Amino acid sequence: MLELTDISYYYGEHEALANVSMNIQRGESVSLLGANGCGKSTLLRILNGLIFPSSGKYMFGGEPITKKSLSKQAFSNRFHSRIGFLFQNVETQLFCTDVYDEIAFGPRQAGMSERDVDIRVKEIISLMKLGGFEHRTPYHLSGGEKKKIALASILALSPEVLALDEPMNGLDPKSARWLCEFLAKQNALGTTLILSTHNLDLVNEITKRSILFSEEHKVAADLPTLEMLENIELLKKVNMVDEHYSSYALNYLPRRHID
Amino acid sequence: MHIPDNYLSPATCALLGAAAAPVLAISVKKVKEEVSTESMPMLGIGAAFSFLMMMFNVPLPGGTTGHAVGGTLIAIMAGPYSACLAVSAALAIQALLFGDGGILSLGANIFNMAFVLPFAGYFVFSAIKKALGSKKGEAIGAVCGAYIGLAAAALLTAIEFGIQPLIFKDASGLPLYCPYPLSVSIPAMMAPHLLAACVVESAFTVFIYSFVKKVSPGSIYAGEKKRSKAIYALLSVLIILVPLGLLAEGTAWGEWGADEISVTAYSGSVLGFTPKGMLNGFSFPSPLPDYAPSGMPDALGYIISAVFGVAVSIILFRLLGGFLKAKSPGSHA
Amino acid sequence: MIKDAFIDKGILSLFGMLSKIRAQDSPAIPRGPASLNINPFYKVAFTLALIILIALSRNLLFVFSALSYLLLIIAFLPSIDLKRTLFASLAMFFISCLLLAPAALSGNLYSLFMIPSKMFATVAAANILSCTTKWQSIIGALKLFFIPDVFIFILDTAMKYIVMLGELSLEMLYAMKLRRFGGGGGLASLSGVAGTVFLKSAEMAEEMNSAMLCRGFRGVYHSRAKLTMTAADAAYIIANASIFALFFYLR
Repeated sequence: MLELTDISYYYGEHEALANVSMNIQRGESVSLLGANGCGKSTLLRILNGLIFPSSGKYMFGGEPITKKSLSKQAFSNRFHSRIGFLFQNVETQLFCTDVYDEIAFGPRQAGMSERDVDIRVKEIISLMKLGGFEHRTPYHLSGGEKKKIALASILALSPEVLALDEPMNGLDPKSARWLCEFLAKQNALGTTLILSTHNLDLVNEITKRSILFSEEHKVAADLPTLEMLENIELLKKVNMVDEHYSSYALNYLPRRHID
Repeated sequence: MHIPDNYLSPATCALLGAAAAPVLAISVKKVKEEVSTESMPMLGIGAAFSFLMMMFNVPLPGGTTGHAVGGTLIAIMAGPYSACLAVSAALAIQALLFGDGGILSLGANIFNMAFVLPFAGYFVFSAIKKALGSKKGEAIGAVCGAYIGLAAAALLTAIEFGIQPLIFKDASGLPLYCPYPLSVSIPAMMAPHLLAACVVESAFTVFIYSFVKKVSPGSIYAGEKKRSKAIYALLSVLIILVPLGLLAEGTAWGEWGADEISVTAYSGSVLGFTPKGMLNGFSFPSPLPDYAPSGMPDALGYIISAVFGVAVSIILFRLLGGFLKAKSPGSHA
Repeated sequence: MIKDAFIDKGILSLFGMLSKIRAQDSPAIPRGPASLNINPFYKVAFTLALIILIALSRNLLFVFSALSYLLLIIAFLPSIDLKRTLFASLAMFFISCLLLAPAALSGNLYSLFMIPSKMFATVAAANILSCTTKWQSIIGALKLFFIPDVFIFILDTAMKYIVMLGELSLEMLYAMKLRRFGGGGGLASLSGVAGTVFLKSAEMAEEMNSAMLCRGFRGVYHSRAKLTMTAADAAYIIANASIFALFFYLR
């Protein structure tokens, strides 16, 4: 589904990604792990066609994603409706005046008729249990509600791939748990999940595969999530965890051995 | 600096609004070309920034404070076209959503503060920067640009006020809108601006400009790749045309006034009153005691007086009630 | 403490502005019998028309009629809006009186009566509109005046970011107040706050642009507005129409 070959990205002089290659199949669930500033967010931006790699190739569903291919309106629309992106900061992502319009924005841009838009919005509202919020202003809601609405507005385009940048940030434990279960359910229904995070608690529950980035902006490991979480030495090496993690891992992870 | 309604004639407002419209249209086009393909969020967020700038109070010597407009600052940092749109939107929000500043005079305010101010400021800034070249040149340019930009806008405002009594007079020669001629309006506007407001504006501009330049040099507007003189040509054309248009409008207005509103109509209205009559006839809070203009049934006058009286009494009663309520917890204690 | 006056003033003006926006955006609006759910389009249209007529009028009786009508509305506003509208209008009234006093001394009594009364009426009209109508509705209503979608989008975004950046500025001013013990460097630190707000706003603009692209934004923003008519609308229109009839009758 997504193929990245030898991708590098520079912000001016500063290197953000160095020779990154990966292959993500349809229906997979992948975590991008790594310390702050390792290039996870940059990679997600590339995956969503917001920025383009300085070198290397990115193929989505067998088609190359480049500045040129995305300059064609029809292709760009199709691409953006197939991959949805939840930003870390949801505030900037909500730009309509009420929740209904927010969810309807994507379908309307895609040229759906007002009747179909209405059906779609109502579906999403019942799916995410957002009834009663339709005519509220997004930015006056709580952080968890905002994230829910941002996610709803993305799901309105029924994307095949969901990319999420630090989805658990700023959520209270209950909302985080809800999101976790929701994402796992979407994945079970066939949506490909790619999420960046440094919250190791929940990674294991949502994703089966993890890709670890080193501080040199390279892929340090690409392993099943459980193996990754148990490989404490590796996680320490990329400065993602410290000594405390070891004891945590010992208490938390062995569940698998008991099972 | 915000011109409120009723100081400028509706004709002046319409004319300046008509002059501001093409400027806004050009700015939208330019910003879309310059910044990126889709720069719409940037326009709105620029407006939010501009709006907030007017809320920052800057310390002035002597313990007082004042606030800046920030038009030149935004022009230097984000380009004059973006500044034009940002300040226009901020002014529109103040007028429409906060009830601050005139609604009819919005066009005039946009013309002065969103068009003349940032473009004049930016022009001075880039001329000085080009002439002096160095880093110092930029700072001097920012100071002078901000000072001159605001001064130019203030001068224009003063002129708009000052020409009102020349052009818009009633049949008996009394001014209908701002009653002060240029000889009064220019010094009255310019003295406080040149001495205080412009100083605040330039200090604020140069400080923020240097801060942003130091912290994130990449985010500063690099200037147009292809220098377009079009907007300056438009500016000069408008500066020539607007006064001409005003004169033309004014005479047309005067004729209309003389033909349409006959002397008999006047005699029934307030203009037929002697000042003495006004003083006797209108005393707050019952403003229309013996007033029965010719051609109007007494009943209408009574009804209006009654509505006015009832409204004022309710307001007074409610305000009084509010104060008593606010005080009562204290009296219990 | 005097040295911090500018920070306090900045905090106060930001705080006042934010609380006004929040009050205006509360679900309780429209509230009070004066604003019986009248379609914002009619409110914007008739407020604008009323302001134009007041500006055009040379008849003190008409201005007083309009004033009476507006005062009647003010009288039935919720008390917070009543005070706000009344004080804003009175302030403009007295400022105008002060400004025009020299002209009055030289015999121009017409201006002294006419302009402050008109000021009071227009400021009251604008404030009634702004406190009885949600800002989204006011902006949405502009759509029906053939204002291009671009401008509506700009206004919408601006309002939202005024709140977000305003909260950021407020927090920074608080932090600055807490850290400033000795005074000095006021302008420099203040420009740091403003500069940071600028950088933050540039960053947010970029991110919002990305978010729009990801949701298939094609460069055209459609805002929608519907024109309906209820009994309250009809009553509002009739009330305003009679004021307008009065204008032409008294001319």
